[in-house]
Amino acid sequence: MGHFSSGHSIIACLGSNNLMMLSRHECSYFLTIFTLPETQEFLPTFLKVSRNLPLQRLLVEWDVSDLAHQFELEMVFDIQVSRSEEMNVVWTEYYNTTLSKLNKTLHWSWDSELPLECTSHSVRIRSMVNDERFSKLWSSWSQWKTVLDTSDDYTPYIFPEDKVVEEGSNVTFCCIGGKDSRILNFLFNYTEYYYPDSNTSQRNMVITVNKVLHAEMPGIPAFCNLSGKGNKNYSATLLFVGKPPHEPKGLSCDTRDMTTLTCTWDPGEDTYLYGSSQKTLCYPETETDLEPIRCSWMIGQQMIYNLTLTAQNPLGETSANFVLDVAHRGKGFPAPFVQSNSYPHLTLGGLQPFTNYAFRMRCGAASHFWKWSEWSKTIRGRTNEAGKLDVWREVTPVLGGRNVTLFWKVSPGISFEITLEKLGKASEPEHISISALQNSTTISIDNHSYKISVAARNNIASSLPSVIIISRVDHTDLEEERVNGTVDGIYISWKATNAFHGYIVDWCNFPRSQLCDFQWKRFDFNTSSCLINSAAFMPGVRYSFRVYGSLANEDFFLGKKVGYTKELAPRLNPQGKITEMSSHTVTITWDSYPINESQPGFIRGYHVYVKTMEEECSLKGSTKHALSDGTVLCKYTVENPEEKRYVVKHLMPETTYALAVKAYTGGGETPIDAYIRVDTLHDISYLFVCVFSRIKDCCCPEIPNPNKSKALSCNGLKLNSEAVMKLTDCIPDTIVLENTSEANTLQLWSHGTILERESKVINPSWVYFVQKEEGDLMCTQSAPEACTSFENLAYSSQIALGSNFYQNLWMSEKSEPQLSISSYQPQHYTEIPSKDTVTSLREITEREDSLRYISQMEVPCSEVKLSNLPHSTEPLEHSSYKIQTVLGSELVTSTSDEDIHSQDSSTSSNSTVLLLLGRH
Amino acid sequence: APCRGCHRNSLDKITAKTRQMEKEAKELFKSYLTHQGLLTSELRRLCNEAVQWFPTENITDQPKIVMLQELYRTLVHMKDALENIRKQQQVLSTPGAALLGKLESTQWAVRGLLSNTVCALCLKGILPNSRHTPERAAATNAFQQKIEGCKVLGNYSKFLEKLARDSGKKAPQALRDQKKRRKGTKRVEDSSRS
Repeated sequence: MGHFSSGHSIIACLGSNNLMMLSRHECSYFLTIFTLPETQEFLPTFLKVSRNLPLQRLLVEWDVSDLAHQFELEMVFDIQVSRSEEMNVVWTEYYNTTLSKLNKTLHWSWDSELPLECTSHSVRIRSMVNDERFSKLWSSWSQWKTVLDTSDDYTPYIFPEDKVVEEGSNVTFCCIGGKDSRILNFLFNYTEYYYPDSNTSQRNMVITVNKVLHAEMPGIPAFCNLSGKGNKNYSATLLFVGKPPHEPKGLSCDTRDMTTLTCTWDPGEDTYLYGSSQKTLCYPETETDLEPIRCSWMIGQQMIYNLTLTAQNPLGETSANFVLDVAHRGKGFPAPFVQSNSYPHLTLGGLQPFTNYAFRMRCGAASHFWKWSEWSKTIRGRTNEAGKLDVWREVTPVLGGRNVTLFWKVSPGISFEITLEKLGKASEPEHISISALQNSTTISIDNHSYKISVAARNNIASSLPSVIIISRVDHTDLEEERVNGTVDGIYISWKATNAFHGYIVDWCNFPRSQLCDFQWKRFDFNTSSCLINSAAFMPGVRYSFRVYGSLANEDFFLGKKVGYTKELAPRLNPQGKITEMSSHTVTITWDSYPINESQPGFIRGYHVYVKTMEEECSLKGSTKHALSDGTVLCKYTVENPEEKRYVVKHLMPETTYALAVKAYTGGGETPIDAYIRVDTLHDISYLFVCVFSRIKDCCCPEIPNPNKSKALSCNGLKLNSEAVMKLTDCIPDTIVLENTSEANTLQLWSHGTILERESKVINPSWVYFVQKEEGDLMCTQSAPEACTSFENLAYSSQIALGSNFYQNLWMSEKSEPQLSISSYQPQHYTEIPSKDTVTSLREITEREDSLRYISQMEVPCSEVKLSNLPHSTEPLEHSSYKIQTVLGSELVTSTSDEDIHSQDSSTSSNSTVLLLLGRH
Repeated sequence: APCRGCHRNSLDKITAKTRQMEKEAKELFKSYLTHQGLLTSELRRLCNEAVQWFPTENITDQPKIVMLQELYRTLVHMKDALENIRKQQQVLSTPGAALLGKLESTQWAVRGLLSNTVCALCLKGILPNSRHTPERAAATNAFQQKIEGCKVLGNYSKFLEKLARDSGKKAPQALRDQKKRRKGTKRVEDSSRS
């Protein structure tokens, strides 16, 4: 323990324990005596001044001599704060403290009203020992310690910078001009402030704006206008005026599903502080992006939540606490069912029978009711007829009787009792019990009338029985009627009469399935139509609806309606077969094609397509049908679905055609995927080839002498004049007459066709075949006289006619002909080469473009039917027949097996004109 | 392919678009001044200070290609500057403030004009220099940001005004030039090539 002497000395007597702690080794008892003068001065030393700008606080540190600390003196410090270069003292404070031996540095701080940045701040301190034993004398002042010396800075400043203040507060701005500059004025929110006269310096300016108000702008500019030197003659900042956050109101939390809790609230009035800082943070953090005033959390088993809602902005913070019991905030789904005991259903009593009702629901917590859910969707339903089951039946005839299948709607926990009673016969009714799970049962009955009663039964009671009478005969042989369907359903109508009490329509939802999902619908007596729809209805499925009229307990079959919701094109193609063929016709049949309910639409008819190999088809009686690839087909329509045969006519003989048959429904038809190729036969009927001459007259005798013809005289070949037709004759047209005898079928080629294909020189249109009944052919050229015109290429083609045409005919006979050349005798028929030769000729023809064949005959043209033309072996006296063959310039093989005398076909003649006798 | 989607009359489109944008730019500038509390003459004076990257000369006096290149360069800068302004205002403004809508609309217009300019250059066989460092907001405090934005919008408005006025004047001249060119006047051909 120490004590003080009478004032001049301090004797410190230190306890041994303390001493031991300090210096154990050196002393055991130690006594030191300090003496202090009565006028001891402890000048504050090591003065430091700094600023905490965010707090606008000056921090001051200093020290005194160790001695003062040693004596733990109680001291008082006089601290002065001054501003600006003029050292205007703005604050004086006495700071009392007892010195400590351990903590030697002394601290003091000061909060500035004026932004510290505004001007330089200086601090000085003096001290005094605050003890009665000492004379109370102040030490001398320390040196001023200054912060922010702007005296040499040319940069202008303004403070505070970007400050956020509460509306209604007073804000002090200060402008600091750069060195040598002068403040002209200060501008804040369109108000000008001038430098007060009293202030001597114009480099600094302090302006206090009282009761600042928010403005409709993001930050109010505060602007110091400067003059003088400096690179910038203004300093400016923004002031953000707003309000601290209001306490959030109306916090509302609820859960729709007991898994997610969502809270919303009203943030209250505008704080006028905007920007990206305006957001909501939910803790614990939720994963979803949330709106500014909403938080959602997953909730687990916990029911009670303590929520804290904190609103923060630069001006402050407010909080509100809530305790929430989730169980009381269940808002519930707008779902059709509520939790009702353990089973999600409600049974409504007191409804009227056979009445339509609409139902909707909402729910809320039974205890601690919070709020109602939204309403559920409305569902509609109709009660059954008073106390009866809705039972319907299907009757199927079987050998010796009928099978009656009874249908009803299943209700849980209810079993059914069926009573079967034969009408008109005194017999015991038969009872059948059906379990609760079945919704149908089949009973076999004979052809008598029966009364069937079905009653529902639960543990307590039985319903009234529903009675169905099955009469002796079920009128099921009525014709079915097609009805149109749409995606909305199939529209069924019937003729309503007063005779019935009601109507029943039944159908299968899955007609193609064994379990057809039998359905029925009842209608009252004044209903005569209905739109039947089901989610099970599919396009391309034929649904069959039976309509019954109900009278008492008996039901009368009124008709069967069949229809599709949408018809589709047939998937199955008719399997067309060629059953008959001639040179001009082809018959195609598709007998086995089904037109029943297996089809995805009603078969409305068929299309027969004919394609030619080379070009557009344009057969007579057909319509054109263009395919997507540009091919044009001939299309024939068979409108009767029962008609499964079609004869395609007007075909060209010996031509390849492709045929296809497609069935079509209301849904159209599928694209053609396969063709049947067919080659028409050679023409085996009489052909009358009338070569329509372009020579000026029909009966023109002025045919130039072949011997004088250039064609004939070329190559210097001198033809025997007798081998050439007589020019004095009425020049015949070109006639080909074929024997109809099958055994002696003559083959004919129109080389014109071949040539045309190869050279496109020949236009065959000038050959007319007119078919009359019985296949007779007539020449269309009606000459006034019994004469024919002819064109002999040898004579006329290039010379007289220029661009006129050739008609080249080739004839052959399959049977070995007996050729004889009898010059100039009218021979009714001829045959030139054998079959083999023909083949070779044909080959040559196809090889050589320049090759020309011409056959020419002379017949009476006018009004001569081919059938009337002589074709017997008897020679015709009145007319002469000539065949003229013109061969090309190339070497041609012999045209006959027989030597054709007077002709040297091996010679390189341009033209060989033959007159051949027909066979005998 | 590089001029894909370019219209033959890209130059005409630029002229028409400039006229339309000039009005919008004036409105945007006015809106900005009002919205930011910058209507006093002292503050407006700051907005009128030149922005370095706007052309100092009248670019319509330049040859067509130089003009287009200058226009392209300016618009690229403008695009970035507008994005900066919009970002600042998004932080500072009331949600749904009219200024934000105007800024966004101007951004689209600038992109459109830029696209037409690229086309016009492309049709002249020039690929614009795509090397460009995005503008960084230089301003340090909120007030400086406000003024930077104001300067950009003020300069932009003036730039478009000049462009629209001069291209409007040039149009009849260009028409006359075309007529002369058809007659084969050599002088005009030379000037057009310059």
